[in-house]
Amino acid sequence: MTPLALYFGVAVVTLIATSAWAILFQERAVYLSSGISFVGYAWLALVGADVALVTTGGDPVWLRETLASVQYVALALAIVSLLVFTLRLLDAYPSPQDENEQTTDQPTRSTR
Amino acid sequence: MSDGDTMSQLAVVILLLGLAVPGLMTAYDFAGTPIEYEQSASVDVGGETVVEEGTTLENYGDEISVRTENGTELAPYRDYQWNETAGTVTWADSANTTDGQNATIAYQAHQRTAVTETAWDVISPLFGLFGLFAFVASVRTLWSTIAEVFDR
Repeated sequence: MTPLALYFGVAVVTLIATSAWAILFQERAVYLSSGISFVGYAWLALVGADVALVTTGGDPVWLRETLASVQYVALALAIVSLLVFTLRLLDAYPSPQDENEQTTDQPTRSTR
Repeated sequence: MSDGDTMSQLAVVILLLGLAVPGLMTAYDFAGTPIEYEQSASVDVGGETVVEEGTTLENYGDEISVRTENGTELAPYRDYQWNETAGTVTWADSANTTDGQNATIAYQAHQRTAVTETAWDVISPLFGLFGLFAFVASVRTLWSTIAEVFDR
């Protein structure tokens, strides 16, 4: 059984990692953030059916039907994250144009 | 952390992906969710009845409920033995059990759902890419190191 709180916690960390490579720091730490978001989304997709909310009486309420659609979304985002990871490895993300613009904004950025 | 240093790229690739594969495999192994089943059976004193929900089975629940056709709830150990590993009910010779008597076995099987299986079918082939990633990152690191040596 995976507690709902743990599932939410991993979801929050994964979303923060996703926002790091997608919005906040596109030219920095893409390996780390896209890697973390891939692992996070893959985990969310795999364990979604095992998530339960434990009531005050101690009986678990299984949320597999509710989270089934979340599992599909997480699976799609896991693939996107791995795609970003691959593109970064091939120097295709962020695009060289974006990177030049951000370099102008941040002259202290380290070179590759 | 910057992506600029090829050595740190390699470290991230190996560390992250090296931990990801065993972690996700373990998550899949324990992704079963308890599903309730009922099965009709015929009491066979001294014999066994196998409950079978074999597909994607992680394990069975440690308790079952067995009721005879006249509504009597049979007691574990006295009337039957439940083997949660094999998924078998061994019928005992007791005052409540009679050969040929119809009974209903209610049990729990921890199984992975179809969505979980789909997710695994999509994610697991991607693990093969991780070796390739490590190789590419290694080559880049080596290339960068050699270039630095010749630049001096």
